[in-house]
Amino acid sequence: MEKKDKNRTCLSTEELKILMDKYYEGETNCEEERIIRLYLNQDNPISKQFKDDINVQSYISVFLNYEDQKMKIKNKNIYLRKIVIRSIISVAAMFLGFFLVPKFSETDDCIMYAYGKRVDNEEKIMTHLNLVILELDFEGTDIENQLSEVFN
Amino acid sequence: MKNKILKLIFFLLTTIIGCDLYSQELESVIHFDGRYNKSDNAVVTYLKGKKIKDYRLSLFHSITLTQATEDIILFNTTVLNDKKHAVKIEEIYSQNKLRACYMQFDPINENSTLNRFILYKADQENAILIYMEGDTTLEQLIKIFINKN
Repeated sequence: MEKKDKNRTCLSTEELKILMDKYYEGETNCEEERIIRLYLNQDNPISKQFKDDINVQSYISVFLNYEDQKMKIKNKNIYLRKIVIRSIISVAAMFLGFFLVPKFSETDDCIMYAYGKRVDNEEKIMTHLNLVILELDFEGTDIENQLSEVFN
Repeated sequence: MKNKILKLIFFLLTTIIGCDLYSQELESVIHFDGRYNKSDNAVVTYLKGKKIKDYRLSLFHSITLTQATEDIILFNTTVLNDKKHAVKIEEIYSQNKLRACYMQFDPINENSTLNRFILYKADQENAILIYMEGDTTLEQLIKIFINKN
């Protein structure tokens, strides 16, 4: 079919018939279908000859509208389902972090800063640890003497 | 792409929020924030993990100060304030001054079984302040340390 002006709705009976046949064969494009709908909705003698086709068009448009509504509801359900799943994942991640991260963050550390300098030598650090323990007196007797021994 | 990045950030935030946060309820713990690491008259040790397992400890953090009169006054203040929360205390006074104090505290929260300990020994110029966490008691620590001598 030749390209015609978008707003032209004046078709001859023959042209409209050809277009309708093409429509029922499923060979019309969007523009041609638009012209069909536009023309059949007009009140003119030619379109009145296609009363049955008007009824078919009405039925199809109702059906298409119904299908469209169904699709919208389906898309909405899919969207809601995605939100719920993502919320569940977020909450699960939070609980995982609460229980697992402290467990896996346990590391072995052995660090000393001696008079401003960092010491990573484990042997030296453990020697100092033992000295610190030795300096602590748990007996509770002769404290002053032991204090003076340790710190002098 | 932007949406994906936002979602990833949201996911990470929810994970981090769920993590345990350390609660500094004891005043003496503020001295262990690293302020003495660069000090010329201090020795700071930090041990965690296998090295102190023999002592049934999970954390050992000590500060040894020499020639530090002002810092020792601060140590005395915080240790005396922490005494109020101790469940077990052993104190040693000399000439009305606190010379040594060994304290045990409750775990940091209900879910933890690790008791907390502060051991403190000081004179006018020198001091040792130790903070420890472990699944042990003050009596057991004393026993272990004495056996080590």
